[in-house]
Amino acid sequence: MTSSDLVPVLEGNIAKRTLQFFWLADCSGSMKGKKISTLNQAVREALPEIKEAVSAHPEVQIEMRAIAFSNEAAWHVGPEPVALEDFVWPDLEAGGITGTAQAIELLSEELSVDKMNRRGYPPVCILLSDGYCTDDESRFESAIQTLNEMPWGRKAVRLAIGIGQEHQYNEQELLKFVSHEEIGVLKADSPEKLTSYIQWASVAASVGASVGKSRMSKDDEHNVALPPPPSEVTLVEDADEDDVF
Amino acid sequence: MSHVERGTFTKGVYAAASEIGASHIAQGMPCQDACKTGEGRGWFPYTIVAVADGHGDQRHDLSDIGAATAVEVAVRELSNSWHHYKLYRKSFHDFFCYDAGRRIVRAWRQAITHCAETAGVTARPGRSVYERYGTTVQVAMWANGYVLMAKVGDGEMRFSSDGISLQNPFVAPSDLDSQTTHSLAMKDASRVWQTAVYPEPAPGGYVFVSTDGLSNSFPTDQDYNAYVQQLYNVVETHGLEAVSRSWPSWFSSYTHAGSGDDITAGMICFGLGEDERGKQHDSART
Repeated sequence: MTSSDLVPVLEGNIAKRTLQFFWLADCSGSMKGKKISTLNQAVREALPEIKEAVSAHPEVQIEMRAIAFSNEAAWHVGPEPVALEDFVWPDLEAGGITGTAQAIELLSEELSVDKMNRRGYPPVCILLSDGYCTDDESRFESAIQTLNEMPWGRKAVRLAIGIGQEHQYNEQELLKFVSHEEIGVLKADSPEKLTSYIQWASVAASVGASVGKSRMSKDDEHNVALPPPPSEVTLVEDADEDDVF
Repeated sequence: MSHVERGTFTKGVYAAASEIGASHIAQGMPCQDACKTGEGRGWFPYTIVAVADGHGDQRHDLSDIGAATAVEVAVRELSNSWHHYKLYRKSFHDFFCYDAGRRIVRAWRQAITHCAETAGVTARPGRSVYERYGTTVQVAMWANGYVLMAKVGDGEMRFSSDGISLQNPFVAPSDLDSQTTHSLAMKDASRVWQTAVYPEPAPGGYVFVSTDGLSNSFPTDQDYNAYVQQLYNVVETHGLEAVSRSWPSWFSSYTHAGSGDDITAGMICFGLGEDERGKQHDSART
C-alpha cells in the first residue's frame, strides 16, 4: 500500500454548469386556434430535439422555464427552473391582450446576478408573439433597456419568432429583443414555419450557448455564435388557406 | 494524458497537475491545459508554478500547443529575470508587476511564430496566426520572502497566509463573461497582465492556482473556496506528494461530473514536506 492509497478522495460539491432556458409565449386572444395549438405542439416536439442536440455536451445541465403573457405576464412553468429531462409543456390557452413588456420584466427579474449562477452558460430566451405589445410604449422601451443593462441580459441568446402575417406583429418591436441582428426576427407565417423555427431556435441557441470553451474577448460581436436559420420552409404543393396563419 | 509535476523547496513543497476534460475525450480532442513548475536553489532560491488554459474552440485549434508554450515561456522568463534581478528585491517586484507580462507575451509570440513557421501553420483570413494558439496563463512565484501572482485571462488563484484564511487576489469582473477571456494572443495582452504580491506566509500558508475547468465544476465561488480549504486540510494531513498523486483521478471525476473541461491546478505549500527531497516528475497516459 502506498501513501496515496491512504488519501481520502476529496469530492467537493461538484455540479454541472447550468444553462437557463426561457420561453416567452404570447397567449393573447389573437393566438386562438391554429397558432396556439401549433405553438403548443411545436414546443413539445422541440424538447427531444434539444435533448438530442446537447447530448454531445454532457457537461451542460439545461434548466427550462416558461412565461406566458396576455393581459398579464405569469409563469407558465416556473419560476423554479425545471431540468430539461423533467420539463413538460402544459397547453397554453389564448385570450386577452399582449403584455410583452410585462413578460420581459418578469424575465429580467430572473436574470439578475443574484438569481443566476455566475458560472452558468449564457441563458437562452425565445420570445414568440403574433401581435403588437399593448403595454405602454415607454414600458416596453424601459423593459428592453433594463434587460440590456443586466449582465446576463446582455450575454443571453435572445431570439424572437413573429407569428402570422408580417403586418400582424410589430417586427421592429420584436427586433429590440433579439440579440443577434444578423438573424433578425424569424417570420413564421405558417404552422410549418412556426414549428421549424421553434425547433431551430431552441436547438441552435442551446447548442451555441453550450459551447462553453474560453474564447478571446473583443474578437466577436456576440459571445455565442449561431448558425444561420433554416432557409425558407417550403409548403407542400397542395397547400391551401389552412396552411398559413 | 495526465501530467503531474512536484517537488520541494527550502520553505515547503509544490505540485501541479493537468487532466484532460470529459468533453475533450468525447470529442477526440487533446488536453488544452498545461502546467509547469520551476525552482532554483542555492543562495537565491525561488519556486514557480505556471498553468495555462488553451481557448479550445474551432478558431483556436492549436491552443494545446499555445498553452504548453505559455507555461514553458513563463517559467523560463521569470527564472531568467530572477537571476538578473535577484540582488534587488524591489526591482524584481517592479519587473514582475510592470514588465514581466510584456516579456512573457513577447517571448510567447516569438515561440509561436517559430512554431507556426516550422509547422507551416498560417493565419486565417483577417486574423493573426497567434489566435490559433490562443491561451491564458497564470503564474505563482515564491522568491526572496514574497509570493508573486499574475495572470492573463481567466482561471482562479487563491492565497492563504495561515492555512485558514483565504484571499482571492483577483476580483472577478462585474461584467459576467463566462464565454470569453483575455488571451496571450490579444494585441494588447501585456496590458491585461494582472498582478498581486504578498509577504511570504508563515508555515501553513499556501498558494493555489487552477484553470476554470476546476472552478466551473462548482456551482458557486463559495463551493470552490470550500474545496480549496478542504484540499489544504488533506494536504496538511497526507502531504502534497501523496495528494498530487491522486489529482489526476480526482480531476477526472470532477470533469466528468462537473465542467467537462480540462482541469489543471497547482499549489505551493509553506512549512510542509520536510520528508520530501528532490523533484519528481510523473507523466502517465490514461
